[in-house]
Amino acid sequence: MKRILIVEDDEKLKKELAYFLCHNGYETKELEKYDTPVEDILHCGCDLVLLDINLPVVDGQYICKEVRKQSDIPIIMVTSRNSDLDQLISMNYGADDYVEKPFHPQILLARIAAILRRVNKGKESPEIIECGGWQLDVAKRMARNQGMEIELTKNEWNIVFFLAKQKGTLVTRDALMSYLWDSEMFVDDNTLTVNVTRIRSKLESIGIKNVIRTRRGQGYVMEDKEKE
Amino acid sequence: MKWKDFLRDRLASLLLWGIFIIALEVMLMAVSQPFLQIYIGVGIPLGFLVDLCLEFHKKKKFYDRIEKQAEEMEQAYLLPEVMEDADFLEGNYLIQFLKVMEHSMAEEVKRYRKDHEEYKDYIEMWIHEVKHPIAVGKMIAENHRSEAMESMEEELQKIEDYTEQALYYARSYNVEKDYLIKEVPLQNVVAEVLKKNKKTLITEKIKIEMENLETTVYTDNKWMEFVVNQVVGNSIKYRSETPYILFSAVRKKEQVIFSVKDNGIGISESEIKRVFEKGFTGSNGRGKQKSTGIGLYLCQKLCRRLGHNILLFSREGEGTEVRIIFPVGSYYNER
Repeated sequence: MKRILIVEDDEKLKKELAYFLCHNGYETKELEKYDTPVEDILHCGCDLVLLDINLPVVDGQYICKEVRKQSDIPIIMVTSRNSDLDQLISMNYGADDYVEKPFHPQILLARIAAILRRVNKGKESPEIIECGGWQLDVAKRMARNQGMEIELTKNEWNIVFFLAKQKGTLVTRDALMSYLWDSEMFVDDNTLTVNVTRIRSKLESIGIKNVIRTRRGQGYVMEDKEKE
Repeated sequence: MKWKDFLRDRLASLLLWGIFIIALEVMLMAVSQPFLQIYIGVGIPLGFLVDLCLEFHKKKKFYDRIEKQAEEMEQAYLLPEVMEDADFLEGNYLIQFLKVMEHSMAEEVKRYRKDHEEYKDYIEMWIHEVKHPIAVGKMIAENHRSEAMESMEEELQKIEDYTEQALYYARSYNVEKDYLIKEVPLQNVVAEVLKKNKKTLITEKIKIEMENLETTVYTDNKWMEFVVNQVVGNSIKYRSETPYILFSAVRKKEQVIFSVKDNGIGISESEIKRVFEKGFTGSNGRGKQKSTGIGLYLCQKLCRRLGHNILLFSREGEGTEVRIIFPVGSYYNER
């Protein structure tokens, strides 16, 4: 499990952030004192740092700069200052990403995931999602079944991926669309239906049948086990 | 300064002298004194004329210089600072008083400017402060999902939007430059705005279409996002039964035209000219949807500061189109 260090001086936000990240599959660690933040970050053994800009003792941008001199640990800056210039300064100091308060929790999550994915690229073997008899190849954006492969478009892939991550549970149309929109695919209701139909026929062409079920007026479920 | 005006100003004194000399002449004619007659009839008017010429020349020099300076100066109220001494008494008095006046006004302006700066700084600081509790609130809503929290989140979003508006309002008055112009694909701007509004856009089933948005423009990302967000906010607010929003861009020789078009309820012809006015809320805005009359006003103001142009076309019952025009300078093309 990936560990995230939260460097945030507001107790309440720290608590909620930790709670939120824990519930989304991360382990968290919080910084309690701010007298030696640079050393603490360097020795925390975490995979990513969420760094607030406004901190009591030392400025977040300074911390970022100092940490970067000695380590490549991914840093996401969190700030309430909102201007391109601030963003530029942070990025120049070596931050990997930059989110503004008030951030959307899901977007923060997506950014964390994106950075971790980027960082771990090459280190881990390409991820394969096992879907009960057939597989999804994350790196190649392909569905695979008994030696047969089919390529999916970006839209199709995102839909299948999101459903597969929550297989066996109902995914509402709104939740699915919301996820797609976060990935900058602004599909509407009809497009979604069309895409799902296309996915079904693509999957069928390599022998995967009836894996995506429609619940009328609610959403879709990806079957946990392939039922013939 | 013109001769005509100068003479008209001296009319009373000229007439008086004229009458006096003619009277003298008549009297002298009675006592037949030809020598005195010539002296008074020619010499005195001549001397008078020379004096008049000298005075006119002096004053003309003085006032013409001021006039020229006033035209050349950007801040005409600083005129007394650059005025040179006059070579006649009243001119110097004038300069003296003007200087006193100018000083007191400069003080006053300075005081207001300082107050304004401080207030603006306070507003900016306050906005950054208030964003923090909003962030915490959103986090709490996310962590404890329920119907009440969803609704709370919507309200938090509204607070955030209003806060954003206040921030840009404060910034739009700023004299110094706090934006950063760079090459931005319109796609990025639109995507951010859509993500921000995705909740309403999805639940209200608003269809989104995009054309040619790979086009890049030179602008400040954040400011543009704010402007487009206001426009999209209006499209959402005043939507029709089967709403759609079309984002498109056209690159012309000298400009890029970015258009946001909807099929909403539109704006009546009588009101269309006033939509960019500060505080103007048309009949739409006074209806069931609340409007502050600030959104489009700010859009125009920010666009002007960035050197873009913003136009609005609308037909009642058919929809509204907002066009933002980005000039394309040859400087950028040559790179």
